[in-house]
Amino acid sequence: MIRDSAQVTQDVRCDVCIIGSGPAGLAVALELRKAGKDICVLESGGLEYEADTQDLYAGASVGWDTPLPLDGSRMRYFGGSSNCWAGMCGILDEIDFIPRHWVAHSGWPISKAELLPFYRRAADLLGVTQPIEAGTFAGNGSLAELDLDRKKLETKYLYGAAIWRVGNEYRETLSRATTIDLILHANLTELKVNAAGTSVVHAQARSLSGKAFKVIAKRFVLACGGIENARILLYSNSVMKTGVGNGYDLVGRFLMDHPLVPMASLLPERGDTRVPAYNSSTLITRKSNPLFACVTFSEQFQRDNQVLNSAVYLIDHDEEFGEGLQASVRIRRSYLQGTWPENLGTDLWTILRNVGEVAPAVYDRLTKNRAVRRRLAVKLQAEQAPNRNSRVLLSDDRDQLGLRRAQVSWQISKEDRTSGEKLVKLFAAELGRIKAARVQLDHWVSQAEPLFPDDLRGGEHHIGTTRMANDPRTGVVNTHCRIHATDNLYVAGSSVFPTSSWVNPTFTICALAIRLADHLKQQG
Amino acid sequence: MGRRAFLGASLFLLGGISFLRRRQALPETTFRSVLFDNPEFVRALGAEVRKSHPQLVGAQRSPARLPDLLRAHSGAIEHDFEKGNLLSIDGWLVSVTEARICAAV
Repeated sequence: MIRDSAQVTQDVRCDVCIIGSGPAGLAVALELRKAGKDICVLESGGLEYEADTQDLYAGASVGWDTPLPLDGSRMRYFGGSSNCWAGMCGILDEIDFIPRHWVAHSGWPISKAELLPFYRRAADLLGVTQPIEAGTFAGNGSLAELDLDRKKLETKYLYGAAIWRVGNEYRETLSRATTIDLILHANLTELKVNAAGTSVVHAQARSLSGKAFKVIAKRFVLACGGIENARILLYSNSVMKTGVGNGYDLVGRFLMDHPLVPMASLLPERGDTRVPAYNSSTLITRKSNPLFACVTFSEQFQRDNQVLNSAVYLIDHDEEFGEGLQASVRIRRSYLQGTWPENLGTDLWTILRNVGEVAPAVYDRLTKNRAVRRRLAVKLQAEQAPNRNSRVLLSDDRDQLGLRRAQVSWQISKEDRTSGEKLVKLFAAELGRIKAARVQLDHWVSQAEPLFPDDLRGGEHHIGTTRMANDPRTGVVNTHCRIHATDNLYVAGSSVFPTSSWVNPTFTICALAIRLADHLKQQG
Repeated sequence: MGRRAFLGASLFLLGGISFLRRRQALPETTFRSVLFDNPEFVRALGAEVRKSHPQLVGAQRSPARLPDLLRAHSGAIEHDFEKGNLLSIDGWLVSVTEARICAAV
């Protein structure tokens, strides 16, 4: 059932209390439902976006010159950040799980083989129909892979989920579920632990209008995203002064994201049919079977050259698009995504004013004479080296509930840049070798400073702040995603990833959440 | 000219033009990168090579045309890409042979 916190008349008792109704929280809830567990899901927001709830996500961003936006990159209502998710699914590479001597703090305590069955179940949850273990362009018409030297570079794939907005998709299921109690407008204000800090006794919840209640459960699952999971553990400090599970000062540390930055532009060779297959701007609009090709270092190259597992992909080069084409692309994307264009009137007027630019492009498209010689941008999606000093802290500012807001210090290192630079240069040389395209590196790539230009952005993938490790001195959660220091508090989400890979995280988040649910099913 | 002769001549002319266009569209046997299609770009690239890599510049300018030089050295260009003999000129990754040619024409 779904109800509002205003309807809660007494403390709630259940088997498992899940905090957060994003992809991770819902994946755990839907799986546990199959085992007949009594579940309570606490959601801070309502069924739709509300500005005052969203404001609870505001915080300070310090550190890197490009701040990591805290309230715009996450959504605080039913469905969580799936409400701003682009639907990109991918599985991590084998090398992501292995300790790499050239990447400090690397290695997962679980293997890829262990996670694969859960990826398959995550594919069902998110409506991914592609064969996730063997990426291929097969079934995507005439698209062909670049014949790269596989000793150096490989093509990897991301798949488009059919189910993006998990809240919308599973709302009816949750409404009908008799064993799931989804409570809206219920903010977690503290995870109350026993005197020894070894067990969560109850979750204290409160609405913005002041309605307070407790959830008493056998087990608790934090599923609030990479920043909020850490923040909650840190501000739940009425018993343990440094926060829950923070005996080794690890909660909030090792914050990673995927630095995204254009590094070069590319001119495809005459008649080349391979390069357009890697243009995400084109493929993203394919309604069925969307597939996104990226290029990464081969594993062997990573070992031999001690680089991170970063990726590059191609997008339309903004400079090639005038106002008219940009407006038509916005309308087309909205149409294919099934949403109403935000500024339809303005965009149509822009197209009319620039008909001289738009008409030839439409003609090219209709006649299949794609502008193959059109420039594309080469964009980096980098793995970040885990860094203890990149972290989530509590700021001195407080939100409407009186809780300390998050302060994020996202740090980027020289290794992050070096690997990206090496990758784009290698890719450029390979494209020349196979006569697919010629590449112009952006000016800053050839300079030692700055480390990254001002237009660097994070992928809004907040990773690593409650990292997984066998040893409580090196990680916050164990292999079952249970906080080492406690016997009944678990974490779901990308905060448990020890390393970030280049791959978008949501698919792995769901796989790990389903794996966690299987573990919880076996508990009493 | 009678109507029949005019139609015949027109068809012959159209056929001839079509044939010639088709011949022009036939793929070249030797690959030449699209990068060198623009003479202004090639001139700028050559100037940059002469400035930043003078050791690559020969004593005399070549009288040959750029496409002919690129065709004649296509094997060396391929070899450069295989072996990583590359230069970044104004950000463009070109082979050392291509850089020499641009500086020479």
